[in-house]
Amino acid sequence: MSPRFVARRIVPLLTLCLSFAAPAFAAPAPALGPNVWSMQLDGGLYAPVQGSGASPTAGVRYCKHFSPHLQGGMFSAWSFKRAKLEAPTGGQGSDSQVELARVDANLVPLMGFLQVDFTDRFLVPFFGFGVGYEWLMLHSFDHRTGAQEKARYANLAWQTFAGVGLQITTIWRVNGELYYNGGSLEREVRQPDGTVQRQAVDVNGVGLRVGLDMKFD
Amino acid sequence: MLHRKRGSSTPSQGVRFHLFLASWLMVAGGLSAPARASTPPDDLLAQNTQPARDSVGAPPVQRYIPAAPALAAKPKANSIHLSGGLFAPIETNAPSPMVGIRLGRRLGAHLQGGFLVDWVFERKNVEQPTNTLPGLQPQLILARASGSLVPVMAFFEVSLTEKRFLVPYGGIAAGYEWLSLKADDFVTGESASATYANYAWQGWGGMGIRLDQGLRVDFELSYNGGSLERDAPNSNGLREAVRVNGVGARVGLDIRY
Repeated sequence: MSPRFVARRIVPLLTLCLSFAAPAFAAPAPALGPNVWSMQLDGGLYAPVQGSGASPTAGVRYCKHFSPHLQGGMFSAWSFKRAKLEAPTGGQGSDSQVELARVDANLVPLMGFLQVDFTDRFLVPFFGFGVGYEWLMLHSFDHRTGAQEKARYANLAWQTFAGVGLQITTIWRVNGELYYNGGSLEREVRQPDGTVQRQAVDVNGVGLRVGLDMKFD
Repeated sequence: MLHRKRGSSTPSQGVRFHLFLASWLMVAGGLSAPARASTPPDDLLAQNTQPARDSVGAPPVQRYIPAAPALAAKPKANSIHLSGGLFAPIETNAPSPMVGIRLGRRLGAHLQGGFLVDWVFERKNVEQPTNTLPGLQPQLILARASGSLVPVMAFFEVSLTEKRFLVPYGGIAAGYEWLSLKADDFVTGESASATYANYAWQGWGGMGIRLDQGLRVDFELSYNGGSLERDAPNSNGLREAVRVNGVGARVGLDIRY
């Protein structure tokens, strides 16, 4: 076994294993009572599979700790996505674009969730699952026709997430996680002839977020 | 008296005393390890500590008052298992999402029995775009077909260990199963539905990760077997059948209470 192999493979592996075994820093924080709650504020990026590119997202999770490894509660988030249809202005040597149409999308889930922490050490792998309702507000502007429309879609949806937390103190934890959002949000549109059309928007997508989690009792 | 003559390989008196001391420490440490593992966390200890009142004028001394032994010794007899995953019928090869719940009660050291309910759901739309705007694209739903598979069964599950971190387990269930199919054509306004039912069975095996005495994370593969039937409409007693044989993979939480 060469020293280079040891330095590149074995040492990082041992460091990772030891960090799982290391207890959380015993900071002089006040001890928590039996009823522990926590709140997480997070932010990141969300990329719908059918959309073009990622969009910023921010969220909050509020939950009760049923045991050192199991917590459950509610979470909500807000993702904003602006998509534009543009065309070159046509001027020679100019890179400027003219906006032909624009669609603003606001996606808001409100879900109940369960989360499992695999350890209570410094490095905390975790995963969770949420089910609830999700709303999508689309605001479209078509500058070619002057048409403007607001539409709201809603339906049951779900999320699953997994990541790793850094237990900085007994109270504070920093979480980094990947998540998947699944749902087909719908609305009914009544036509002038009295018939009802159903429209759906697929909001399946993946996201990445970093959160600051605070425990309290 | 006869004494064995101490040779060059025989340890001296001091070395033997230190070996004896070290072995005692190892034995004592090993015996106390399970006790420490079952000791309640610090915050629970803090609840059960009260200042002693037998020393006047002295600073209060924290004294641990143990909880009621009946509460500490009582095993958790019931369990609820929440799971989610995918189910793929063999004849259609289309994985569908599934969720399930198992309510069990311990019947022995490694055996539990109870009831389970699952729900496998799949929905397919025929769609067309509504506009050419960028971003998330609304689709007009022209037609929709959806199906729900719901087994309700009694089960037995065997865990090969109740103490280790990794818990291999397997189970078998038998009961009744329903398949509900529904199709809507939103262009013509037509719709149709059918419900099939019959006896069915399930088997599963997996590996659990025990996080504490009351919580386990399970990863399992399952098999569902059944041929669900109904009376064919306008067919003079003929029967229609749908085979729902298929495999599933699911992740679950086993919570004891």
